Amino acid sequence: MLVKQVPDPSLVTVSPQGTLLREGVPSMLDPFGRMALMLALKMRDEIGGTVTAISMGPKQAEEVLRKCLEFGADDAVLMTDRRFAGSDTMATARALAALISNEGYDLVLCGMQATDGDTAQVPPELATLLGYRIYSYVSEARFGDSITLIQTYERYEQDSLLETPAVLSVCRTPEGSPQLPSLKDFVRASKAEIRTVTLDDLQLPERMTGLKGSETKVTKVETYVRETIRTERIDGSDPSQAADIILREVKG
Amino acid sequence: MSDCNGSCSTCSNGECKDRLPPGMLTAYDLEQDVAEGIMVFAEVYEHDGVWMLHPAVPGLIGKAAELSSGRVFAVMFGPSDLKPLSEQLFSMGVDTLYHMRCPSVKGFAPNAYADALAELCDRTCPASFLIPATPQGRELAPLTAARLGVGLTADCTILESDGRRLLMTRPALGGNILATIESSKFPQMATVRPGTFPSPSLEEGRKGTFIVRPFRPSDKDPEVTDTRVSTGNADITEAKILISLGNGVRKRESVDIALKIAELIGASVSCSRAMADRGWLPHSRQVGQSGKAVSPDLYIAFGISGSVQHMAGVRASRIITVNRDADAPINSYAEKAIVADADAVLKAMLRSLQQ
Repeated sequence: MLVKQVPDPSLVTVSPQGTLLREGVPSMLDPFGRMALMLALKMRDEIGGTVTAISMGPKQAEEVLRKCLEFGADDAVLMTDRRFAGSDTMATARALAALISNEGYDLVLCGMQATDGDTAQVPPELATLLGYRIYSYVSEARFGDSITLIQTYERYEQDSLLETPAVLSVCRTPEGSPQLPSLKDFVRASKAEIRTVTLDDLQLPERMTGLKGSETKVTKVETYVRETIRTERIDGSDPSQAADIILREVKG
Repeated sequence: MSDCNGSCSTCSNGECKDRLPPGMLTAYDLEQDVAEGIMVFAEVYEHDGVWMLHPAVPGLIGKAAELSSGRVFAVMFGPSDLKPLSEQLFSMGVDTLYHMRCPSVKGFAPNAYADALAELCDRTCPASFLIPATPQGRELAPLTAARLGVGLTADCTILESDGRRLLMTRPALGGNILATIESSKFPQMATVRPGTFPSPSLEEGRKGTFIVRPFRPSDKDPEVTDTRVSTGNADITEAKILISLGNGVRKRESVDIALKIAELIGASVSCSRAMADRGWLPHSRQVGQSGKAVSPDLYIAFGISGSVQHMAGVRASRIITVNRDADAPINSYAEKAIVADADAVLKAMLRSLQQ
């Protein structure tokens, strides 16, 4: 189960030079990563096995892994190395693929996307590199003789039979997920060891990950400021009056 | 396998000595001369037995025709019934249309499609490959990019070209910044947020080359046991009037009220991420950074605070807001900002329309 630590997006500010001021911004477990964690725990409770939370990022990403342990993940791995820095989605997927195949995980759950980059590219790229099946936009799992995944596309939903090895991208919190960790898991998590993995542990050439291994590069960054306009402020304490104002605009 | 040059992703039996690790396939690089033209993935769907182009496709083809110094290729997947779409695509500016067919593949098959797209790119060597950032496109693009070992930029909102080089610009980190990204290899791949580019003007009777190619099913694609059409996924990128619901909408019944109002005034209902994450409306109706870009004449925002991420998807001519908070950021972009309870005003609108 892969998670990512992201800065709270509503709190990121931009310096006049266009660089991001992430310092001091509280980090959080990515909401889609949290959904993946919930589905992973639900699947473990139904079919057995263990859930390992994996995150690639700076040392501080330990916090989100700790959060995963609090919710009931069995163990946690932090992939951290300065040589991973600047990875685009392909370089990220290569590093993740190396760890996953080395350790032999056969079911990988990720959030559909992370709220900082919003690319949604890592899960399909990871599946391709590993030669695993991909199940995108999984909103729920049903358990019987086999496991059925519900995948949500734009105009339809489909039931797909889960066959492993596979990568799942999860887009909704499954039914019956806990809001808060149990006291037992919470206590266990505070004492748990988080394993650290560096590039040297992966048997992956340095040129395949990080900035060097990226297939894209950012060549320009601009701050985006939207123009504001003069606004007519209207007191809407009478809803029907407010409704009429809007309907007049509609007929406009 | 002796004639394998290592650029295929299928020979994994270990016999082939030239085979490179996955993701390091010998795709062409930017120094190579042969890459030319722009390929567009023409997503199609069936509605009441009729095949249609996804509304995100025309804008993408218009942009490809504007940027390409060479040919504009398009590729679509599906049965022979979708041949009538070819005239439409040619009139938009497509020069060569590939129609990929496989009788045994019913419906969207991501791995089979990606295998076929990677092979087609190898054969045609386009300089760029543009894919709509729809759920299907966002799955297909990374599957194809990973097969080719090339870069991919997600959800672009601006595309420019410098010769064959593609400059891909997208909002990043919550829409606070615009990042311009370049790929190191051909084809330079990008997904483009639906609704970003206007549909091109049509040149009736314009001719192009139509090529039918077979493709193979993939044993990696899931066994689908049931498919259900999701209701109420009206396309919000085409709407002239949008009623958009956000976190400030507290009552679940307000969603149904908004849908009824929309029907009565000829509008569509869209939403912010908060509303989609709550599951009250599908993600296909979500506006913003991780949803769709919309450009209606009138955008009526109920209970939407207007985060940068949300506003990144709003390109309306006029915005009216209804918010309890008079200082909501969205009000700086609105012509009229009504300070009121979103649920109450929605209810009053429906009452007024039903009188």
